[in-house]
Amino acid sequence: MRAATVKALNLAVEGEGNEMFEVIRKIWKTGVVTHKLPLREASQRYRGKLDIQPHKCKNCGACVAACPAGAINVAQKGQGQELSIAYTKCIFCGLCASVCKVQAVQMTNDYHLATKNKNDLIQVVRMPQ
Amino acid sequence: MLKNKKLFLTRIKQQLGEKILSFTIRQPNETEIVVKKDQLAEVCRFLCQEKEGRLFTMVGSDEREFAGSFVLYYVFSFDETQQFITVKTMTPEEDSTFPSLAAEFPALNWYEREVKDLLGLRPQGHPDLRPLILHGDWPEEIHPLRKEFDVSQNAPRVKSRESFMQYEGDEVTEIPVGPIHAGIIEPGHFRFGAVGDTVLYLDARLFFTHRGLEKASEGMPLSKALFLAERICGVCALSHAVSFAQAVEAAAAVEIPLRAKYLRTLFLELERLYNHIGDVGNICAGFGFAVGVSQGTILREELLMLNERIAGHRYLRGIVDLGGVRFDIAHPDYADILSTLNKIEIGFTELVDILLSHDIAVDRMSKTGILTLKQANDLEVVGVAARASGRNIDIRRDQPYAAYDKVSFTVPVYTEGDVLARIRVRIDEVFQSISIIRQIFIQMPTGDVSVGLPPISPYARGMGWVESSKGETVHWLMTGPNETVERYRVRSATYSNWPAVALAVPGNIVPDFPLINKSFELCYACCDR
Amino acid sequence: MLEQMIQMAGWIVLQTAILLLLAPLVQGLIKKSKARLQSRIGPSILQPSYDIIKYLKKDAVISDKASWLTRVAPYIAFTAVITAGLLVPTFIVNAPLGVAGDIIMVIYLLGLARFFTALAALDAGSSFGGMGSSREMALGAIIEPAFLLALFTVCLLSGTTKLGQIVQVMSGKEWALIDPSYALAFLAMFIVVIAETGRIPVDNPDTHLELTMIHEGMLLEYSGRYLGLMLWAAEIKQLIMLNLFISAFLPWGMALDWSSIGAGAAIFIYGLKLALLGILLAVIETAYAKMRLYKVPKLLAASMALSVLAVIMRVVM
Repeated sequence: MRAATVKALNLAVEGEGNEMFEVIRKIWKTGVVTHKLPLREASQRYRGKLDIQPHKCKNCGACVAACPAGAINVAQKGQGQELSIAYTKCIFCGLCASVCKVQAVQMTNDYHLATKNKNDLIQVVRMPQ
Repeated sequence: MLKNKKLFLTRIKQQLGEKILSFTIRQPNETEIVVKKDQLAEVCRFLCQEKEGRLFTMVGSDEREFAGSFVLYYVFSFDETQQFITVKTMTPEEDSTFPSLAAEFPALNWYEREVKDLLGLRPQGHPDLRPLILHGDWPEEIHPLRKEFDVSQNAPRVKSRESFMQYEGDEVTEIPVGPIHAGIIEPGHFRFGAVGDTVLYLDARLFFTHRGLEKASEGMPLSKALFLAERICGVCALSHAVSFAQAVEAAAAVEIPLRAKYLRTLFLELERLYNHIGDVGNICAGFGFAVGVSQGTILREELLMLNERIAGHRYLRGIVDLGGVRFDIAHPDYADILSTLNKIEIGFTELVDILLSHDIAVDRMSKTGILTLKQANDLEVVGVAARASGRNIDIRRDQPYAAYDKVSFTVPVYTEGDVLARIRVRIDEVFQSISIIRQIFIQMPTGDVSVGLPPISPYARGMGWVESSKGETVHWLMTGPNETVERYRVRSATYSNWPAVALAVPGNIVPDFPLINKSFELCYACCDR
Repeated sequence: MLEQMIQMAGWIVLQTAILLLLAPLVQGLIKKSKARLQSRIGPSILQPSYDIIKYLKKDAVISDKASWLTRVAPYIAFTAVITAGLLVPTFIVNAPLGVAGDIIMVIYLLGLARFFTALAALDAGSSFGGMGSSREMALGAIIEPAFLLALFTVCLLSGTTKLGQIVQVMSGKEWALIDPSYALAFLAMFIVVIAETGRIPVDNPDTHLELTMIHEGMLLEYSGRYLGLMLWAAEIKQLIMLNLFISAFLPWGMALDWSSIGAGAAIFIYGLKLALLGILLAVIETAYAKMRLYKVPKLLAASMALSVLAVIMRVVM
């Protein structure tokens, strides 16, 4: 049947060779490659959302200074301090994590940022006294 | 080699004699010649025609604050002796003009118009002074790269001065396309003058994505400007980052560790691979060959996922550091890269077999969009497009950087200059890249991956270049006080190649334009900055 | 008499419903098969139907340079195509309006739709519309004679231009059908089907490159419900082409009357034929690439040459 189709097509379109077979063989071999949602996890080295552990933080301010996009801010809130990360500005370069000497800031492989509310993109962490 | 270099330079010095004001060897591979404005044409002609230099980049800079005038730098590359010669000329504020060489060196056309738009220096005798970077509705007397321009100010919009080729006679139809297209493509406005379905002339209006990155970088700390450089373009992110880092390292006169050099080479080749393979697949969209597109995308996705596993970023951002690379890779990564490459090599070979034996595909590609060698030379075309037209240049071989002098590879050159030739160059380069990466893993030395930078003196100059997947990308950098950027000029490969597209299209039919355009595969963001 | 009229009306409603509902399904099937051939999961077979519902609900934005023609053309094209559809048999040997017109009528109703689509594309004065319609008309001028010639062979074989009678004659012939002139006409008609449905290697229905578009180029100015109607019309036209092809070349298994068993089996066989043809179209589209614009007439000329050969063979043998 397939061969007959190929022959028929060969007649119709001038000078076609055997590449039809090649193409169909290749398609057969590849199969279906796309996935349905949800997608799988990103690789371990992927630089996604930040994980901040306030109890480790020494308030040195290195991450705030290092951030090339100005996405990390520290604000005085009542008694303690509040660290806020704006994912609207963050470029996920990972500099903050690499300058932090006590590993209070770490990158995770969480890439889920989609939201209907922009305020969800500002992560606020309260620092202990 | 070294002797040759010296001899070469002394001869140039002798032959130019009285025409030059000074002759300084600034760096082992860079010599600076200062000339008066009226000698500029003659010196450039001498360097280009008698010494076979090729225009590498041209930079206009506002140095009134510390040098008292505007300065123009014309950088020529001499591939045989691996030299650069910078011709420097000054133009004071009172007399803000300079002689135009565009009529003689067509490659200078855009550079001169850019200097006119951004710095307000008029190229005298330039045949086409239409606005280039800043579109016609930008006020003519505001020049963003002058130091007094305040970035926070809003420039008023004026009546547009845009103009396009005028046609006479009823036979010619004008077809305006873009800047917004039916697909998701970067913005560019193309105006075809067509007779029936045959293109007579193509006017391309670009620079819709001009973000003023060069102005934005002024005064920015070098370490932050690196991230700016990385974001000039999506698919050449690493090339730009490496170019910038090399420019800073040249200004600081620092040699980065050998292992860092190898790692940079590795990642640069990975970037080339995913671009070239994606381009070969994408070209099939130009003639509706869906299997080619899907197979190309599958392979490209494999490589992007490899990038994510190895470097944490699909488009290889955040790898480069000033003075090296930011992280090291270990043996499991070697194995991962090599096994993925083996798979890619098999898949790509099959894709190429299918594509090149497909009659309609080959028919669509051959003899389409021919760029002749003469045109390529005149416009100083670079990269894949140059090599497909018989212009044998590859900056990896001609002015080696990173670890390219330690690996062996061949530079594919075709002479047909058509779409098929450009695709063949890419196909050959894919296999060369795979071979380079394999050599890297055999040779990979141990050691540090970065080195600290010494303090950089103000007004030091440095240049970095990378053969990106589109062609050579040149970053010219002058540092300011406190390790900031004073002047930063990015000349991407696409900036050199866009004018060539406009030459390759006329004579072809309108429906072939997307195919020709794709075969050059020029990013707009790289060019517009 | 009254009973007959009611029967007729019922038949018309049934056939219209088949055309309206089946056309997007066939399109969906082709898209799904193409997605599979491109190694993708692809959208659901119902997606084109959803799309049409979505478009029909939407308001239309129309260029302020456009005249009344732009608004009217979708309705004319749609009506013309539906009428043509009522002339072509589906699963039963005759069509509801079979008495009113023949093959020539079908071709010219489709021509009418093409004419108005092209005219409307010129209306707003956009360059893509102009390009699309000039290409469509240039190709149309070659497709139509090729179309006529291919069907003419079948008419010669059966001695009539009425589709209902053609099907009856053809399905009556059984295996005697297979003769060289018929085979040539089969190929010629297949090329015409590909060209008329705007598929590769003639046109690329999935392209986003404005400059290469033919049929899509004419629709670029349309939006909302007008776009919905135009797309629906194009899908119905595709179904009609397949119906024509089935009637003329694959008439086996069609029901001769309304007896429930015969009709049931005929509907099943009809669906099977459509699905196979759809998948075949998808395979061809995947394996081939779009030809250079000025080489397309050559392909259609090949179709015409095949038809002429078929006619000559018929007359001589």
